[in-house]
Amino acid sequence: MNASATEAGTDLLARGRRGDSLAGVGIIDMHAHLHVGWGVPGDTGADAIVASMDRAGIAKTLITPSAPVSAADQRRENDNVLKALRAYPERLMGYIRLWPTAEPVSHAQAEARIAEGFTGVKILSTLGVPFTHPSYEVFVAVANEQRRPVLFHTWGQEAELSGVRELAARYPEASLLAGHAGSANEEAYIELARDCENVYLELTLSFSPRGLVDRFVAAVGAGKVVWGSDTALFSQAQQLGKVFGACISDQEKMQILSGNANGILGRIRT
Amino acid sequence: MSIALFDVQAGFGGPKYGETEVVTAGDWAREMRRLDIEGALVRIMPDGLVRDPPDANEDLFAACEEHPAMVPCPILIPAGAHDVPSEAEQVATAVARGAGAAFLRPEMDLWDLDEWCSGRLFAALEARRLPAFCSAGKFTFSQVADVARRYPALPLILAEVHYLNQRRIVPLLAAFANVFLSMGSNYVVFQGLELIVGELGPERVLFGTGFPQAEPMGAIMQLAYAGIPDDAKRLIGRGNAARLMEGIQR
Repeated sequence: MNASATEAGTDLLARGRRGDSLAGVGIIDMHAHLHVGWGVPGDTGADAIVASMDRAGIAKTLITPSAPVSAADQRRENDNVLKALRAYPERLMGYIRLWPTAEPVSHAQAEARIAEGFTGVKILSTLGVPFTHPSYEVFVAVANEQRRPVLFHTWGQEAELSGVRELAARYPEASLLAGHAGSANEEAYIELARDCENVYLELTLSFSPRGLVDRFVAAVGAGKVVWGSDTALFSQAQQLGKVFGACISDQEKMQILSGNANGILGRIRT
Repeated sequence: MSIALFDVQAGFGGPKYGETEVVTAGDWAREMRRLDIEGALVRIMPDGLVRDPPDANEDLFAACEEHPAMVPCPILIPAGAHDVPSEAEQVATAVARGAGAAFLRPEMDLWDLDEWCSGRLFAALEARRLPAFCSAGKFTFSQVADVARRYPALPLILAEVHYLNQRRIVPLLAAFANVFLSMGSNYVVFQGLELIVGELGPERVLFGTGFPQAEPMGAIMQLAYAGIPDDAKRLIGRGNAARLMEGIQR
């Protein structure tokens, strides 16, 4: 390990080690879920998420539904996100989660749905439908016009990353977040972020590989990396640790935890 | 409040498959200083490279003698093939060399958990109260339960547990007072610590990081910001591990 690198970022490191409130850091969690299931204990609703944010001093969290089983369920869960956003307007923001539909979705319909109160769009690959499916892409087009973030669930698969790459080229004004960056095929994520100006690497991963944040920052710069936690599936504070423990400067940590997210959210045009 | 930490889930040694970086005991000692971790139970990792446990144990003991904050967790094996000293001798040697637990790898070291194969090993561990380190990658939950039932005075450290196993972990801990959970990678579940402490008290969880594979600050911040009382954090951070180590019959 590089001895000089281990001396970088000592203030945030010390604060995290002590468990001090991080309220002044302005941390924004760009990847979280409402009501997760899977044996996660207790309430995983908005109250629990905000309580977790308060314990660490996290300023804002962007939430999205977890695991809908149908288009109708998806709508209900998106509506639940809207309710949570109304309950905590200063703390929570939301992504609309998409369900692939055979019926065409009009531009106006996508625009209207986002306008109900969502900040961005979340698209999954786990349903086996490409990110470029028309029922997804119409929302990306709206996000592009309004410069909104689009969060993609990825797991290092070629089809996923090429889908993000394709959309990044077609929709340069949208901020595209490659979720779970480094889950597999680390080099492909780095190439994607290097090649596409509007693609960011989002750090949510249960397992926090030692040195991953350092490698991303060295390869693409701290300006292309954003932090997310997957709360209420994972401990939000645990997910912070990969950034706080990284051998990078405090300035770079702040950029990842706060600066880049503020930049992405600040450029939204409504 | 800076919680005193003793890490029960750490190690050093050879490279990961396909990589060349070797994390040494010295690297871990520097990282412990950087993160203010007072002590650690350590294994040779990745253990998949270890085909000759007695030889690897010697390296481990030597490293721990050089770094006093590190407590060895050597690999112990049943002696049925007569290729290693008797189980009682292995345990006695481990204890004499300062071991804080024994690392058990049934499949890797080609033995079974049945009484006829490993009964003498577990009995020797239990007699000395030397905790058995049981990785969830090497033991099923049912196997841990079976060992816990057969050897009720033997502490079992269940480590490297996936975060989605909450439905198994909580009943296992509730059923067997001699099973302890390492919160090291990959037990990252939301409100998991809060539930276990609330249901079973703070004595059943041990601080662990998963170094060198995992970034240790994850577990540190998970504990530091958990919604549990400070006394519980102190027990998990170091107190529970200290109690287990103090219970070893040296």
